Amino acid sequence: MKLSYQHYRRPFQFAILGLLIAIPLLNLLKVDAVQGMLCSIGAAGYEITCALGALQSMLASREINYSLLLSASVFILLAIFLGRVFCGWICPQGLLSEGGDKLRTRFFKSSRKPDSLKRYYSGRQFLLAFLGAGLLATFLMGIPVICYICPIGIICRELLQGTMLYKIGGEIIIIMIILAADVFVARRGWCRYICPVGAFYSLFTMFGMKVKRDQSSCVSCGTCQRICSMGNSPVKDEIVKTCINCGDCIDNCPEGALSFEKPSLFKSIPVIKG
Amino acid sequence: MPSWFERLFKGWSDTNIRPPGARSEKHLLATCIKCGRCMMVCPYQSIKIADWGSKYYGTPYVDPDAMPCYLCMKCPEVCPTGSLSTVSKENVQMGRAHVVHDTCLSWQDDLCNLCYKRCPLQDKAIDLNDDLQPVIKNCVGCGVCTYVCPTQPKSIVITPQRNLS
Repeated sequence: MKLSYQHYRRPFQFAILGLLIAIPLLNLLKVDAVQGMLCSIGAAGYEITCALGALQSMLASREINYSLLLSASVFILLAIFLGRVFCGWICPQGLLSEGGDKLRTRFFKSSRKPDSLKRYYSGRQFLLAFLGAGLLATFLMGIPVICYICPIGIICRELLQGTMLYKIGGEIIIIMIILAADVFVARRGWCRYICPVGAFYSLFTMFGMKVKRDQSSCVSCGTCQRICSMGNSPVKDEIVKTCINCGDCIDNCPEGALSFEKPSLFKSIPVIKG
Repeated sequence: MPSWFERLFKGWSDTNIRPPGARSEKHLLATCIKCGRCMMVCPYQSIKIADWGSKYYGTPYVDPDAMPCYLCMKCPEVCPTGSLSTVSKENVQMGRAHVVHDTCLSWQDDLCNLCYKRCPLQDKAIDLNDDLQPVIKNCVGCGVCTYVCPTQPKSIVITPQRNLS
């Protein structure tokens, strides 16, 4: 049997979630080689910081912090080379939202109908508008506003407090609201129309890894369009910046007409053959 | 209201002090991205994270009544955004202690001096006068004195830095 992308992606997502639970437990046992959650991870002196958090921190304090820039560049480099893999392969809220998506298809049989293109474009505008408004408010108020509602940070903090202090904070309400909206209002609504973190990483995806359609073998059945949880339609070659490189369309294509394309950054580099 | 419901929305008390190395309240609120690194590294679990319901939500604090800061200075090293800057113990500004003379055992002609004995910056932050009564000198506000004070209510209390004029 050929292994699909889902066979790698789902275990990877659960491994990240397990890591987020294991790190505070190990820290309690004084094993602190790896410290921190997704907002900021440190291992052996190397630091990775959430790029949007770092940007907000510098905007709100109106200072440039060079070590912060360095540690924030890791996720941006990931987005430049591999596209929005943070959303599809790492983000724990993405995992929850996909669970919500499964629930939604169970409740409403019609939800697999594709959204219209018009709705997608307004969705993209929504995403950028929320990101812009958040960053503007951050700059004006001097407080990292997006961090207050960021579900990734909230999940990390809940896991942290749950394992280390045995308490659950009230902000878990936000996660529940997002999940309820994902199931009952819009398919993966948070990721598609609001999430500022995804919107921020989508700004860097123009050179990255993309899904490519082979026109000769495609039979235009539209399966990819129905399966895509982010509202893209690979069948019409409309794969845009909401694509999170999850590989669902590639796995479900009956003709095998879809595949990942090499990052266009590498294409211009000539290959030296020995 | 049930108590668990109240706890859900309380999350902040005005006597909370900030972890060591915070430059000012405004700077900490601006730069802190609520990642929880300081809380994870704290060996005494003194640092907690403010709960939902106020603008302090997600930022770290120390409640000296529950567990004070022992000035091990591990948290400024891991802070990714520089909200907690690396300073020496003596230059930390978390707050300032003051002695309530009416209830302090030493000031009421008893012998106690627990705050003096347990102070991490003994003789610099708290000193004894000629009558062996504690006097505050260059206090950094770590809160150990409040934690060990045997009287109830506490006879030595910390005023957080943001409330000092």
